[in-house]
Amino acid sequence: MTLQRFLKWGTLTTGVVCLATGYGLVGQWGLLAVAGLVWLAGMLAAGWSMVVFVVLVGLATVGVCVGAWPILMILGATLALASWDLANWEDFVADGLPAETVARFEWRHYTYLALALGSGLLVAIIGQLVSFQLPFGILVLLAVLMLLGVDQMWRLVKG
Amino acid sequence: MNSRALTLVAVIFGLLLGALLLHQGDLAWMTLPFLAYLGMGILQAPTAGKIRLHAMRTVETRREQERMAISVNITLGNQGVALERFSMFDDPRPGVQLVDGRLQQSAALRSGEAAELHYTFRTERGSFAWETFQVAASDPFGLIEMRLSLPAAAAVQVPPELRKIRPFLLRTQRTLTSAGSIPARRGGSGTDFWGIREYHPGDPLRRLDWRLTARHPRQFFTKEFELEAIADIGLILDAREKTNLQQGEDSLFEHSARAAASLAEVFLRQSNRVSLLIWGDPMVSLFPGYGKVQLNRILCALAQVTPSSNSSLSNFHFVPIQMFSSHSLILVISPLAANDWQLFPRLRAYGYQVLLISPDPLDYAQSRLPVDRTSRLASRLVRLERQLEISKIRQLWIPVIDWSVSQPLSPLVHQALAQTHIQSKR
Repeated sequence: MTLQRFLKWGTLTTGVVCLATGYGLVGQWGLLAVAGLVWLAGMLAAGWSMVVFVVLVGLATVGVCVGAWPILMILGATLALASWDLANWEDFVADGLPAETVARFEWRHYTYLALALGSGLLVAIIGQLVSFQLPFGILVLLAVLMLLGVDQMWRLVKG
Repeated sequence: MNSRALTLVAVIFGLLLGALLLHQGDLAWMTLPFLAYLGMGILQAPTAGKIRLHAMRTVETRREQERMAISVNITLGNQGVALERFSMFDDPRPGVQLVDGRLQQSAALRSGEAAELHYTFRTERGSFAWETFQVAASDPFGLIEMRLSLPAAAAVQVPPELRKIRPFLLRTQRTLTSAGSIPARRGGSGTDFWGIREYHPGDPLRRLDWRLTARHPRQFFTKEFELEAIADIGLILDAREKTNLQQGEDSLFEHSARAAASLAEVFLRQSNRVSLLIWGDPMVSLFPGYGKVQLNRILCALAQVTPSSNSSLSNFHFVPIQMFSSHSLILVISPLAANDWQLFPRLRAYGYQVLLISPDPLDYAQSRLPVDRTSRLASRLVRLERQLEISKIRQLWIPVIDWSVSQPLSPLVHQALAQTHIQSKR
């Protein structure tokens, strides 16, 4: 088994385990079964990684709504994203890329992925643990600022 | 943005909308890893100013199993920033068979490195030209994609395969002044005895007929030989879609084009002057010319032509035959459609000698026709129509070669010419 495949299946399995644990803790056995089926589909159907990702994020959303532990749900959704990315990377590598090129760029890809998801996950978990209240007006203002910031960043990158 | 990025953005907005509608802050926190992933993709996306790629295309041709194999090799050099993820792809050519390699390939390049895309396709005939080469560079996650079109021009022409045909001994009504291989029906410096005439000052002494001179005192006689000259030959190739039949990758027109190329080659090899008219869209007319240059022109024209369904060209009667020199020998290569015989009285009226080579469409399609009563009746009808058409042409004293394309053309042409005055009795 290649490293890419191991990581892809590893992240998918861990993500589904996180979701299943969250459902199990609140007694949502039906959702747990659905998560199990999605995991099975993800393991068997290689070309359906995008669908599996969207369904797992949907399951994580439902889990939050039914009262499952949010950190487990966030972790499950993030690992689903990692699995989707790794499936896409595996397809890219399989498209006639020489082995030496793969070896050269593989770890860089994993580093980028770990940095992006790790930092996002860290902030999300810290946000979960540290709670403070903001007036709604300031929240809207912050959201507008963030949107403008993203827009500016987009123009900077593209320009 | 590609489908991956759109999916991610849709998920993020879905989660934010869900958070607002359901008053679930946890869903908003869930978007953070996705936002970080998208942000990393945007930051790492290649920008147009930093990408410096150059492409070079080389094309090689070689003949394989009666078809031309064309190998295309594209070398892509990177002199800008490292590109961790990109795809290079070339436009597919219609109607060709890819036998090796791929038209698309993923790659990753550091600055100063080069990647290659190689593929081989096989074709029977055609004209192929490339202008650009496509590259799609993206960030490491494949979210933000930038498509580039790099100049990588190349062109190649695949002429129809030349089948060797034994040289003909033609006897045309009129020849040109240059020395050639066709008896010109007048005295000159040939090899065959032509006659005896009175000696003229300046005649070479070795041509004196000493026996006759001895019998006639104070008179000298010179032997004459038949002059051998070149002829004007015109080829008319029927490139109408309505007379073409397609069977998989093969078509009846390919056989006609191959015959035209082979005949042009043999006539030019014999130093004759050859012209070509392709009755298709666009109509191609190559005025009379000699030698390898003319052969190259003819092969290039035949490489580019495709059967045309232009209705204005449907009637063979309007072929502009005036482009051929008067008293030329005209070879018409056509499978013949209904009423195509009307061209031939015109040709005869202009004083041309004519030979028709007609690839048999019924014989060509026979293997694909269903074996039932209706098909048999239809085949008989088509056969009768064709025979009627051919008999009308034969009545004009025009030799017709009813060519079954599975048979070699060379012996048929020799046989047809042997029965007519077009070929010498030698």
